[in-house]
Amino acid sequence: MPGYDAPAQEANPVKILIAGGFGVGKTTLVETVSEIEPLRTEERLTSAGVGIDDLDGIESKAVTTVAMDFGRITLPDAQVVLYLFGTPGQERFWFMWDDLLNGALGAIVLVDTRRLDRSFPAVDFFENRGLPFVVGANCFHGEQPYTAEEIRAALHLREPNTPVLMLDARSRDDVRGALLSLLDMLIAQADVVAPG
Amino acid sequence: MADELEPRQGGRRRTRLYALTDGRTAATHTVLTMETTVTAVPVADGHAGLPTEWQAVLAMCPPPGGLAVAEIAARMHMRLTPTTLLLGELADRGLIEHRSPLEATETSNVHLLMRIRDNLARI
Repeated sequence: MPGYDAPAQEANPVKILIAGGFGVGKTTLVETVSEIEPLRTEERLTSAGVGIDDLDGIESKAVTTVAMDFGRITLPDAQVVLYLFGTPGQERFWFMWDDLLNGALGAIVLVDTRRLDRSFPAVDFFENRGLPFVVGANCFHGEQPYTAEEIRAALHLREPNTPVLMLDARSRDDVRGALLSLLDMLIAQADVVAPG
Repeated sequence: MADELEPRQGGRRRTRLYALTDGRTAATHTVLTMETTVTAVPVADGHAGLPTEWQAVLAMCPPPGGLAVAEIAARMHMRLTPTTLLLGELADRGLIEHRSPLEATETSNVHLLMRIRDNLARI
């Protein structure tokens, strides 16, 4: 068996989603901590029921091709390979895409406080689906005029204890900090579910 | 090898799905998700005679490592769904092995989460 059957030493894949509006720095964040250059994959998605805002009433279904940039971090001591998937911005298509959330450990929602509204759909979606997430306020040019409390209030976060972190998506320390914060939250939740 | 694949040319047609799956376009038995990792099953006589795309995929994921479905899709310049169908076909034929993502019962295991956290803190 040794040398042939060694699955116990192989790593299990685990997925974390990196969400947020277009141009908020998702791919930069992935690139900062990934052990590989971020790769891009595409998926063709159909959105049923988005026609409600189509005035012509002809198109009841929309089809789009979405692109995701992703990277990976191998964690040999945990026997886990962490995949960081930067989610595409077209959140209205996520509802038809079970594969995106299934099996996800949690998410980081990146926000640009100059365009906070672009992050609302991701926040709503994760809250509705019960996927744990932390918020990372990307500090462009190293500046962030708002406090974590102000950002939390503006996002109307359903869970008041949701961590809101100031980060620079180019900083390895910052991004690792956001991932650790997410893990801390998951550990706290797991403790509550399974005490002792 | 995989890195040397040329990016898709502007006017090049996408390889048709039935060409990739040897005529099958129906769902395969093996269900793969984007983060499922795949390794080629070693064979004595190589993969001569298999379709070129299959050989390319198999060459990408030699054991013991493993590549995620999304990674194979990206490196093959294919979309996710055709890639999962292609890999499902390979899995049904015993050409690849796969490792599914951890189930919710495992990812809510506090000991595993702490191991992940500890390892992450050291990257």
